[in-house]
Amino acid sequence: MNPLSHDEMERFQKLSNTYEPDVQGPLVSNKQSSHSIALDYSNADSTLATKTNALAVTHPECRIMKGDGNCGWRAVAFGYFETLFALRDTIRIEAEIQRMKSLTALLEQVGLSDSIYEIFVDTTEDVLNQTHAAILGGAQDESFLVETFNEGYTSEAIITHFRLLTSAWLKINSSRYQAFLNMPLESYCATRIDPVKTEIDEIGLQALVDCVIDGSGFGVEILYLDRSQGDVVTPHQLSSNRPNDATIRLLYRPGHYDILYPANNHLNMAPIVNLQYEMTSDYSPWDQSALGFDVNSSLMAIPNLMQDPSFGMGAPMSPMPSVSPTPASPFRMSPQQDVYSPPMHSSPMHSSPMQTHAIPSIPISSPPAQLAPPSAAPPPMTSLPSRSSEGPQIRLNPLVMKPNLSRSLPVSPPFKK
Amino acid sequence: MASSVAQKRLFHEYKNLSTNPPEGITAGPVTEDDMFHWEALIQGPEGTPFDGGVFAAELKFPRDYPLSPPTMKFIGGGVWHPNVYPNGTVCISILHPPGDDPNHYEHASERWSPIQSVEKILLSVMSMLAEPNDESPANVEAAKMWRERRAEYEKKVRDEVKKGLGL
Repeated sequence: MNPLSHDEMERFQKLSNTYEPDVQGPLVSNKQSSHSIALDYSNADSTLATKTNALAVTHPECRIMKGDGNCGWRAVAFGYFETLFALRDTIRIEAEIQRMKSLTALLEQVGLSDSIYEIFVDTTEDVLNQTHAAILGGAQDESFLVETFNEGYTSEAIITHFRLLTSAWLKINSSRYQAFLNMPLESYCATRIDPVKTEIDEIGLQALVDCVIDGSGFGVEILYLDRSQGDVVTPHQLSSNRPNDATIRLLYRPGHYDILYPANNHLNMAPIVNLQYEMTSDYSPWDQSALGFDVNSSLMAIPNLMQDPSFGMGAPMSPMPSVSPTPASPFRMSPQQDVYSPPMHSSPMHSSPMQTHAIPSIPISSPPAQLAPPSAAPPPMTSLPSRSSEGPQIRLNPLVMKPNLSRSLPVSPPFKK
Repeated sequence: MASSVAQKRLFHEYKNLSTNPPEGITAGPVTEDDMFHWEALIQGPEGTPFDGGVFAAELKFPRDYPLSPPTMKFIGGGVWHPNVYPNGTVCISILHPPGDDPNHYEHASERWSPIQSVEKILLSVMSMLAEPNDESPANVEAAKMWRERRAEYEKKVRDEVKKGLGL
């Protein structure tokens, strides 16, 4: 029999109904050291302590999500925008804006009217545009996104947009997911996906990644922290995109998700490398194996993406010192396009390697191009140098290589595994 | 930011409801200056003791609508029903998100989420009038009467309806 009287039961029910966990902190924290996680577990089970200590080495930084029921959704949504921003590729953002718009067809397909979903779709688009503008405006870091995601309604609206897409995706692809659910898919969506502040579970997370994230080409990796055997957290790939430069990494502790940042995250911190396209072909080709980091061919195909404008026109003689404020860190994002000089517009001295050698102190980019405003539109593709049929050829300017090899080639510890 | 977005959504819902109203339902903001306060008129469903009645209710929307649901309350009294508190407040699952349900419906009933709408709420309330849910009564007396003395319940409802119409 029930050991509690009816009145007591009623009182407990009332308490439980009105209970709200007292969760502190911002919705999305600033990046912080993962040692704080290790510290949390220092007195806990030794497996957890070992794993979190190892984690603080492999993934030295983390971002804590508020545990308000939305943490998993928020971690993926924030990770998506942050990764997109870190790529600093406005064309990619434009493509993402189009892709997000096209996903709206899923919502129509499950019978939602635009009066229901438009405010959520609009919020995502607004923040994508904001990210686009931040890149063009040369924003130093992602603090604008942290701010946006800490604005309660915006944060919730983006999450709701992702929830609606996930819910529609599940319904449209029900045969793929139903077998993993212990209830009809319709009620799963109505009770676990659609309502605000319902915690994401594995199926929901998989569907969210399949529907919203996969199309962006980003990888999603979860690192499970539990008391299973082993000295390190257990990684699990959620995305069909293998982990790449643009990978969202989540730390899962039962019931909670946070974001992790691995050591040597090349995505967030493009190494300073002097690269220059030239139309001549008698330089020795870039030797990838000599590099301590992975040369992403599609990223490297973007002219000047990894070029260091502060080098070669060093501070004392720089005609435009304000173009690229150089942070103390040896890593930083390469500014977009601000010093890009299409080779065919370059001064004649660049047309021959011999001449280039002869004038070693001339800045690698010609002054007229440097004077372009930082926010100038990227040059039309037609102005790119023609490439040979075996794909993009990235050549190191001998001018840069010779006297400054040690400075310009990534041989310092951060690049070595 | 929140309230202007909510306003936009409420305005759209209002427009849809007035151009294409469901049968037996009218709803809209009390004044155009305040999109967060609506009044609704619901006809008593045919074939039920509420038939012939017109019930006025007010809906109050939170600033973060549609993330949070509105509240709904019959005004002017006179709705004797297991799922309506004696003060007129409507207690129905669609007005509660899952996990935030004071009456803990056991079965899979429709809950609040941002894809619900005023129209869906009012349609649910209409069907609630026709089919009370006595699992979790808001008005215990009405629920008991409905369960045990159906004829008496129906008579009381009809009397209230007449009173409401001023007959």
